[in-house]
Amino acid sequence: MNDESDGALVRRTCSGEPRAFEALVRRHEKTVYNAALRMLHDREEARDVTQTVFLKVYEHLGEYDPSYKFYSWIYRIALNESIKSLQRRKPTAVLDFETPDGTPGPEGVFDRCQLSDGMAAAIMSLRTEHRAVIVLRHFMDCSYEDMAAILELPEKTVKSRLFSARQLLRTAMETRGWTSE
Amino acid sequence: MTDQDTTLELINAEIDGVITRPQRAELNRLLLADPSVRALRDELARTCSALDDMPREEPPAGLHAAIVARLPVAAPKSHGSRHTSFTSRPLLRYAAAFGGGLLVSALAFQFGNLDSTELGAGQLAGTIADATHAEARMIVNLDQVRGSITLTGSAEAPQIVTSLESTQPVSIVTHLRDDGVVEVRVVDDATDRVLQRGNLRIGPGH
Repeated sequence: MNDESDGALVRRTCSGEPRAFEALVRRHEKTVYNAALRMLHDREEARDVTQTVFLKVYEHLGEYDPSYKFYSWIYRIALNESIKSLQRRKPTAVLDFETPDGTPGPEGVFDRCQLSDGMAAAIMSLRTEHRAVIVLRHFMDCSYEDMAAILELPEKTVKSRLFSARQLLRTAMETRGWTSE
Repeated sequence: MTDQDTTLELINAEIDGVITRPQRAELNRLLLADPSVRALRDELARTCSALDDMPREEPPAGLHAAIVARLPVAAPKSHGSRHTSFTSRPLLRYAAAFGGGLLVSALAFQFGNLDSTELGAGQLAGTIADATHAEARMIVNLDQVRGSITLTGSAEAPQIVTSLESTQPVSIVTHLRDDGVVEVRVVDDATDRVLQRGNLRIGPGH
C-alpha cells in the first residue's frame, strides 16, 4: 500500500476504504506534526493541530482536485490550522514564550542542542508570514513553486519573503550570541 | 532590482540548489570582488544549514491511533463536479475522472494514439450507439453511475459532453480512432474494471 500514489489512496478512501486513508496519515503525519511544531513551538498544540488537519482532510477529501499535488493541499491546511491556533492564543502567550537557553557555552561556542534550541527560539521571533516560508522550505522541503501554490502568492513574492526571512533569522541568531566563525 | 536584491537572489539560489550557470558565474564574480558579499553568503548558508540540521521529531506516541479513531465511519463525501480533471491522466485515455455526484463536462478531441494499457475484463454492458446526425449518445445506466455521454460537434472537431451522476469514483476513458469512431469506456477507479463500453460516431454512412 505504501508504494501507491497519494492520488490512488485518495480514490480508494473515497470508495470507502478507510485503510487507504490510514496510509495517507502515516505518510504525511511526521511532516505535518513537525511543521506545526515549528510554527507553534508547543508539542501539545502541534499534536492537536495535526489531528485537526487530518480530520479536515478526510472531511473535505471529496473536494480535492487531483490536478494539484496532494501534499500541497495538506500542507496548506496544516499552515492554516497552525496560524489559527496561534490566533487563539492569548496576546500575552507569545510574550510569555520561554526562550530556550540561547547563550553560548563557556568557550563561546554553541553545541548542537543549544543551536537547535536557539534556532527554534529565533524562528518563533519571526512574524508569522516569515515563519511560514521558513517552515515550508526547511521543514516541509517545498520548492518555490510548491510554496507559491500553497500560499497562493506569486513565486516572486514567495522568494522575496523567504530571502527576507532568512536574513531576519540570521540577525535573530546573532542577537542570541551566535556569531560567525 | 537593486544590486543588493540581485546579490541576495544569487546567494539564495545557490543555497537552494537552483542556481543557473550564468548566475553562478555572476555570484563568483561578486564573491571575489566584495568581501562583504562573501561574509553575507557564508552567514546565510550557515543559518540555512543550521535550519536543515534541526532534528525532526517523531510524532507523539498514539497520535496516529488518535487520528484514525476520530475518523468518521462514512466515506468522505464526494463533490463530483470538482473532481473533473483533464490533466492528471494521459490525454484521450481519460476524458474525465470523478469521485461521485454529478459530472457535467465537455472535452474537445485531438487526434492521438490509444493508450496501450490493458483494461480489465468483466464489463457489465456493451453499448454501441450510432448516429447519422451531428450527435451520438451513449446511455449509462449502472448501479455506480447513470446518465449519458454524448458525442457532438463535427467529424473534424468532435466533442464529448458528459452528464453523469455517480455514487463512487469512475473515469470516462475515450479514444478517437482514425476512422472517426470514438471509443468510450466507463471505468471503476478503484478496480480499473470496465463497467461499460461503447463506440460513438458522427457523420453520414453509418
